[in-house]
Amino acid sequence: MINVLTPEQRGRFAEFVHKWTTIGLSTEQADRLLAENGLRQMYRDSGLNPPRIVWCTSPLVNGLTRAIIMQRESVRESVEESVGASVWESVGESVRESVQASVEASVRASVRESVWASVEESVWESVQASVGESVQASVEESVQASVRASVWESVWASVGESVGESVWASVWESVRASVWASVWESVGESVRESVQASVEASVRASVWESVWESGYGQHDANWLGLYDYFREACGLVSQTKKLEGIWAVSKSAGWYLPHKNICWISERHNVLRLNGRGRLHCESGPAVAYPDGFGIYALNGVRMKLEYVMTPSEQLSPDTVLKEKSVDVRRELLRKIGVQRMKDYGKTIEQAGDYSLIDMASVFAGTPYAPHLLMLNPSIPDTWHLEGVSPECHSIQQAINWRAGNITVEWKPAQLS
Amino acid sequence: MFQIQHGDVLIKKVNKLPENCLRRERRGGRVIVAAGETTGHAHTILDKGCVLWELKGELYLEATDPVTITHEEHRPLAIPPGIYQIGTVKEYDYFADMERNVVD
Repeated sequence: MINVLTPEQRGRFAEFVHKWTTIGLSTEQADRLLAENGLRQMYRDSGLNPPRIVWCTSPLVNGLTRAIIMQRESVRESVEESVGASVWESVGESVRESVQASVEASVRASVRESVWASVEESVWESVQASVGESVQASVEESVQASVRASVWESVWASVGESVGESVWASVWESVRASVWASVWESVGESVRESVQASVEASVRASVWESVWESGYGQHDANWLGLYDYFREACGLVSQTKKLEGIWAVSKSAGWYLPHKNICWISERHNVLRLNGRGRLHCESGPAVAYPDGFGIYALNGVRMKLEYVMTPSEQLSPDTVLKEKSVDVRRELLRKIGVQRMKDYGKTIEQAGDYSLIDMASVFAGTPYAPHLLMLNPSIPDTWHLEGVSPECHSIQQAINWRAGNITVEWKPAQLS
Repeated sequence: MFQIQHGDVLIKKVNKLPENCLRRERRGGRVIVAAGETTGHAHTILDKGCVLWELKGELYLEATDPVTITHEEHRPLAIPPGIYQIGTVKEYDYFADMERNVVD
């Protein structure tokens, strides 16, 4: 039992934070040989036969390919328009490879022939038609619980029995929490949300499941870094041995979707742009992009519509800002359009300290009075919020009270951030 | 009445917990007071000395020790021991001509 870390061991925290943050944020092309060996080891260690491995170009393509194979339904019309043609080409390719990987060798040639025969006419229809029941059956269920979740639980227990509570807490806070913030919270979570947001109702359930049944590859860096520290800095080799396959995959590729006889695995993102605070941010293109063009647009850590990022600020109208329901998205639009320009659209009723009450009636046809409260964020420099308040509000204090629930009850918090 | 505001989260001291509240379990060891929709950010409390309760959609925080509420975009704030009602700032949408809770 390790109850105390030596100064040398504590001195290695930063090394592992750097190592796993670098892995988590890598934009290099996947090392396919290393990843495939890692996947096979994961399956073998879980008592499963090694799967057929199909490479996909993004986590979205992982999920869509699985949806087509498992549901055998057209999903194209259920996907948001923002998903580009290149993603579809990639889905077609991955479905074809899945079909070829899933049928017996004796019939593979004829299936391949039928798949490729009409490629010139319609890639999409051809891959759709080629997914038969035998292919669907051969893929079987997800084995995420066997190859990843149960391994995680087992290693958690083994390492937990080998280190004292304070040591565990110290490494958790110093290594895992830091990598979590830089990799999962900043990037991985946004990828997950964007994959889910890219599809509509009819395939959402399937793609949603695929997200939760995935291993997150490079984005699993936080907990893999934690155990890497225990192995390398504390000598807990046998306790962490089951992670060798998962480590190999995560060091070399993106998300993977493990099924009994097949595993879809994604390339890493090839574009990743962050601001000085480590948040997703790019004012001229996607902040995250995969080789097929699937991307995430974001400003200062807030996921944005493509047009919000790519439209020049002078072409954004006040309507755009005011129509946006998310206060965070509105905040970033306000930053882009400029506070003074926004104020110029309205008429200032009152100004005091970091607050202004502005009548924006000119934006709303037929509305005689539309007060909005403009506020400086007390925690982030140069960040403003603009929120509509009831037409009953004629002063800043009334507006503050109304926002907190009752225009006649004074809201003066002892602490505000 | 003692009031704290952490971003769009309103924390108002009350005298006691209403009857028949249901305990809300922690997630990943944290009390999630409010979760954001576009950023994945959340107003959370890691300290052990508090419990989040719910009654008909209303949230209550019971802090038996001083605790700290944190969020990625706001300074941490200390909350003294006590019972608090948790609320959300509202806004008025002039396009829809209706009020609603702020969404982040």
